[in-house]
Amino acid sequence: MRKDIDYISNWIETFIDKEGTWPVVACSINEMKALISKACIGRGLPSGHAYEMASLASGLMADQVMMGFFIGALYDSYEKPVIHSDNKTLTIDHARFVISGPMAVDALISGAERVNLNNMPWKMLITPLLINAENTYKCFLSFEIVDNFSVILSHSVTRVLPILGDPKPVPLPVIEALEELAKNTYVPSSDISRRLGAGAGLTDTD
Amino acid sequence: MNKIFRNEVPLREPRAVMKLDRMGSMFPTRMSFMRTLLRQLSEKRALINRAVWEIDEDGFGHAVYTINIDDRMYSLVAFTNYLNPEDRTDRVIAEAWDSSYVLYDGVPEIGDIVRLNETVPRQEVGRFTINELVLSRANKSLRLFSHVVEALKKGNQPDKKMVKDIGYLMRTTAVYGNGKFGIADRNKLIDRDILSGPFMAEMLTVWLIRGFTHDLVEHLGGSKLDRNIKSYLGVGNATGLGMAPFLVSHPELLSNWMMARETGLTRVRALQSLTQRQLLRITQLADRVVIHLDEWQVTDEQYQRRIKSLRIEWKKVYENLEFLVAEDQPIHSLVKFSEQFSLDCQELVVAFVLEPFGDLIDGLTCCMTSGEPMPLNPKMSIKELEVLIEERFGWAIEFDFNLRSETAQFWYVSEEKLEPRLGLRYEEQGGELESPLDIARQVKLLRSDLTDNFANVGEFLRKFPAHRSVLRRIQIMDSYPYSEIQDNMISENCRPIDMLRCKLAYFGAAKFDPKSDRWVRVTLAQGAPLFNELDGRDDWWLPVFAA
Repeated sequence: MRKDIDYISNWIETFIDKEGTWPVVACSINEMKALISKACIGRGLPSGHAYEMASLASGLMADQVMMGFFIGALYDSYEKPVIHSDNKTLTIDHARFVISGPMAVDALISGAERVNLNNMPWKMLITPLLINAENTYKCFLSFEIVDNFSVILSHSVTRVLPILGDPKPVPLPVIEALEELAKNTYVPSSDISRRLGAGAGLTDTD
Repeated sequence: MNKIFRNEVPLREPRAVMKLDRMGSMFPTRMSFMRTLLRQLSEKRALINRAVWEIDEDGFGHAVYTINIDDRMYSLVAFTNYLNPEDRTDRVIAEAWDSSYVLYDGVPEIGDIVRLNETVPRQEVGRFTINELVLSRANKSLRLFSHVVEALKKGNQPDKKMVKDIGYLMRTTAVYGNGKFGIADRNKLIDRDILSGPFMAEMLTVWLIRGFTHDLVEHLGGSKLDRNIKSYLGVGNATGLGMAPFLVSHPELLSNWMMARETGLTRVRALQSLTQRQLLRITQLADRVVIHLDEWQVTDEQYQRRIKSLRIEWKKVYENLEFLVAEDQPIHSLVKFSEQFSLDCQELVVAFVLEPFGDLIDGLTCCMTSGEPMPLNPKMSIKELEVLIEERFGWAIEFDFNLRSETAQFWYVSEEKLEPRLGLRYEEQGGELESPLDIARQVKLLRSDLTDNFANVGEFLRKFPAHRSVLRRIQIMDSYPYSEIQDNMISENCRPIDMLRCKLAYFGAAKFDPKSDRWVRVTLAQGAPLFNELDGRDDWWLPVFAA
């Protein structure tokens, strides 16, 4: 049920309503990268996309509400993206941030002049995505929201994206939601794994 | 791979160096991290001060050691407590320890120590702050700790054979850095000169722990340890599978470690002749190797056989040393001569020939760190990618993954302890959740999906997003030739201990003592300078018992 769109809508609604009152945890960036990566894989994303999402950790941590939106994007239902392209433009219909975001950056870096992400919820996540891409590929990028669900990404001749602040403590509901997905990657223990999995038997003393 | 200039010897090929069995034969070198750290601390004349010693007559309490490095203070905060015998295990899954430690960025106030006293002994269960750089814990050696204390109480020194056989008073069971449990990210150390190097903060922690263990037994025993005995007492470490995936998940870093060492090797192999002083040094070190190998005893029968063979092979190297070093390019001749012997002997010779030539190679250690991971290049053409796979990943293509033997194992993370494990795919549950350490198989799967229908890899990945991770690794290999372990990590033949030994050798560990094919005991900082010996001496490669 957690993957259900109604569930995540309710989660976000509660998250936004309680803004500023959540318990928070001071996490390191590396810790959040590891958790985001595991959660993405637990959600069924390819490991390469999990890596790309984890690389956004620092930017996401700059805005506690943004972290909540990321949870929304991660839990959101997936539809197979419909992709069209010509020499200059890539268009992705039914775009989902966690899959289509890295594809959009790839296209811009490969020479596309613009990328249209259609029907994409959680479009505010484009900001940390593009800032991360700017830092990674040493370029300037911009985006324009054309309606509630569509975003146009393009190159820019100057820096136009906002500067994100320093990482902030992470809201506990965000950590819990990520851990819930991360659990999907763990293998339950068995007698044989307890005996042999770590290679040391059940104890080791000197 | 590299252009050969006059007298220059090419780098050893990655296809030879990056095999698991060779990696599992490596020895510490003067470029190992503990060695590099102490050499640099010595150059800076770093001073260690025991600022707090609140340890009671039973050895329980806390202590603080401070060290000044480049005008910055760091502190080891150590806690010791009673440990119920049934809670004692050196596995990472333990929940209580004899002692616990944190490397603190600065000098802790009393309030910090109160806070740390609440959290540090709890280790993984505690939460930490960016003021903490490294978190660790250690258990006493049941064989040696009490013996040393009792001997000192009687005004005696401990039994030399026991010291020689065991070599440490405590064993660390985990040394956590880089943001674990809320401690500082490694990026915090990026501009900290000495501590910016790989695992330098962790090595500093271990070395300070070693000094604390010396002080603790002297406190409990009421008299001083003999200097040579103290020098031989390092810090034990019990390492399991948790360390193994690191080498796969940090390809650029692994390549830089290997490249620095291999570059050092080519430099010394290119030497046209040796000075009398260098010849004398080589002879002295060759003698030391004989003693070290003799002192290296393990209980694992197969490993002990390897050590015995190595002793025999080293004798042959030793007997021919005088003639080999008299030839043109003497080090090159020596390395070539060793190629008739086992990988253990070949890698021992590599570490041996690096040792006398610090002036040629020590500067390379600054190249052993890595910055941000290399990003995917989505502009690369499919043709370029195909060429790259053919040139760099032929080893991966050769495996037949239709054979059960080539997919017999799988890596996973255990739900119970959140630790990496290795399972038997056809006997255990959980194969569908395996961690992506199957690089060779991933390369082969990607290659099977490649066609000319895509303008570049960005377009290819829109169709095949599952290949994104391995595609980036393939691109990394173009710039970092030693970035991949060129073996099948899920084969029935994959022995994780080979990865552990490689990494531990880079740390500077010696006396590898395997307890299974995925669990090894080692000793760190054995023979290293004591707190009051950071005076420029840098001669403790392959420690031997001198008492």
